[in-house]
Amino acid sequence: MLAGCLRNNAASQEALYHRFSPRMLGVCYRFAKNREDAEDMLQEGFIKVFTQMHQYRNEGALEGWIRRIIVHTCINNLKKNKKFSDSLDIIHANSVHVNEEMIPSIMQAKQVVECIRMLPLGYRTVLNLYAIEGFPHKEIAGMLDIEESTSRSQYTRAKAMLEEILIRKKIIQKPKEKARLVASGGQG
Amino acid sequence: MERKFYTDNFEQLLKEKSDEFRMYPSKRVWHSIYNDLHPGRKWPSVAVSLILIIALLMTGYWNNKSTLVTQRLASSKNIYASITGTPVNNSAVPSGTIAGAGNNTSVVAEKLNAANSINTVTAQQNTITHVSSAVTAPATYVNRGNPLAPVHARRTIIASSANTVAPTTTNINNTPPSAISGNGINSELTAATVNNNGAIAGSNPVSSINQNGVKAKADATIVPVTITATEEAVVTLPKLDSKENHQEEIISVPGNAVIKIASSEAATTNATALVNTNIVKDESKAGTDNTPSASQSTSSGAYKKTISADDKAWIEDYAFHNKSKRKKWQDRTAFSFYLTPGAVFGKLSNDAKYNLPAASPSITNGGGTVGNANNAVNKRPGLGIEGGFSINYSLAKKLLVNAGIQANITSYGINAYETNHPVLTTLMLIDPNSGFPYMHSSLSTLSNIGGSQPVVLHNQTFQVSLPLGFAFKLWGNDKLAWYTGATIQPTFVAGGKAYLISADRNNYVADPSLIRKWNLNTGIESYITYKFDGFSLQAGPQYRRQLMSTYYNKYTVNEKLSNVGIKLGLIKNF
Repeated sequence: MLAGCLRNNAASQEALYHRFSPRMLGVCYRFAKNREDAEDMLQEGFIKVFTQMHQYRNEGALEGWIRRIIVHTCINNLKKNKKFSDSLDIIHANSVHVNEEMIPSIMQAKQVVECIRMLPLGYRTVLNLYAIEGFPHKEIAGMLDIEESTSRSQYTRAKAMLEEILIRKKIIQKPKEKARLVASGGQG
Repeated sequence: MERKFYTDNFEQLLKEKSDEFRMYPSKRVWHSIYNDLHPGRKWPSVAVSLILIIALLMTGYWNNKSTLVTQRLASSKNIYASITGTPVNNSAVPSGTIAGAGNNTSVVAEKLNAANSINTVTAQQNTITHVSSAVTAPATYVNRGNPLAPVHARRTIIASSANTVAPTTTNINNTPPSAISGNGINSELTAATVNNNGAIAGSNPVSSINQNGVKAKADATIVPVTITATEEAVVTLPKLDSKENHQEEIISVPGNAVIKIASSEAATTNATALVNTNIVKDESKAGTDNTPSASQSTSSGAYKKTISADDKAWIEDYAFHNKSKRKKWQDRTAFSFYLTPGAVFGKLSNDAKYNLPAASPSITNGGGTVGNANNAVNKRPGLGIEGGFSINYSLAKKLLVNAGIQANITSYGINAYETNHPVLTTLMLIDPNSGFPYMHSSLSTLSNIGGSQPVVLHNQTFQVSLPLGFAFKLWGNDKLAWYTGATIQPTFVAGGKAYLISADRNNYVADPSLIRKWNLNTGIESYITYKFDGFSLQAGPQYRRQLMSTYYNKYTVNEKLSNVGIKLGLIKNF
């Protein structure tokens, strides 16, 4: 498949696309404003993947290499189309009301992703890059043209807010009583 | 410590759940990628699409001519059968064998094989030959990891006979006949089961669902000379074993035809009815999310999206607590500031019935009358400038509408002469009440036929317009885009200079009071935008045309202005 992609073979490209596009669209969706934007990012990212395929050196997982390109494409898109610095503002965390009645629920990946997407753009981006994509704060700062300390503070706020939201949505339990998660099929 | 444990789990949770999340992109994405990577291969698909469209149109045209069809079928009854299907987990490919009795049989059978290619079998004049094999995109989201695959099946049976209402029966697998009979119109039958191999078998008149969860429905419409039957089946096919699947289907129309489809590509047939069978893949879920869930994993595999009460409450809560900071219209809206320097051309016209007898042979238009005003006036283009701003709103990805306000200064020159002494001249005007022309006398030192020194007169207007229009994106990428658009511009003329040609075309009279206050312009433009740092630069040619005369209708000469310029703009998003 890789050899075919390097020869610009359409069938190989399509096979690779179908193999990785669902997961990569999930990545884009976490960064994007809506599905349409996510698909635009995916399209742009895969064009880069295919045009830069010769740079892949078989040193790591192909998915990881593709994912990195997709993430950078998402970030470039955000920086290009948004007032990105404005999005790094402080959100009013207390606007999320926490219901004290904790009922265990089955956690779905989609719920978690949607909760992440509820975060303000700046928070969401930093959280995506740090907690999910695994970029260090220093690299995030470089990618987003912000200070490293800003990245850290944004992540801290983002995480706190996301915890609030997940608790509010009864996806996780409040940590003060029992420090564990209510994961899929978990008990209350 | 406890908190740390929680935090670690929290981040792990996020990563795991995010990695689990998958979405399936729409086909548009791959098509765009493909076209970008293989630009030279766009044409075949376009050509094939055109051929298909033309073929469909022709088919529709001929099928609508019921009289001709009836006549044709009366003398030559045909059988047409085509099967297309979704690959069902390495199932064998049934192909067609046709058997029957009659004349002039035509049979086409198609079915997807396991490798997602279409085998087409066509038989005409008692012969079946393998015609072609085409490749289509696999419906990967249908069968992936799930033994059950939804298939939508449709069958159309058309049988005709001349001048009589022919009883018609549909048999499937020699089961008791499903009868389409009598002289009723819009008869309906429900029949068919699906055997273990996913082929459509049938029984009539009761619809049945076999152990594999197959349901089929057939509707029949009988008209005096033409009978049409359509079967529709939503089939959930079981995962097939590796055994050779010998799918067989028999459709018969008593007294007319028997069609048998078996695993052979070559056969003979003498059938005399027209039968069309299609099994098409269910693509209704293309482009939807496909996150595995407990309910889906135990379901029939049809990824039906349902919203439970809990989900609905969650979504509503989400919407309430997370109102977008940016309104949707803000994302679609942009300001545009622009300046359009250009050349202004004036064109005059007049009704010939108001021409005067010629006093000077040099300016006649034949027949001894004063000629066309446009020919009599020696014009030269002038400088015009336009500036303004507009608000652009994207209605769709490639279509935006705009509205704004702009100022225009128009000016064109007239080569004339200045005389040392004023002369008496006349303008021909029309009485708005009676509609009759009359002469309005004036003194003028500006001559059209000679004087002491040449002079250039400038006819000018100062306008304020409210352009309303649209622009269509012809092409674009991240940085560059090419648009074309048009505007209509209600215009208020604040003032100007007007040098009007006299009735005898010999002199000019300055009379700005005849300039029309309200006018209407239209503009067409094509421009390129270049994005940088949140702004876009815009540049391109523009043509602006004045739709009404510069002067009131009472002046017998009409003047319409045209501007050709280069529009330079700066676009800023909200």
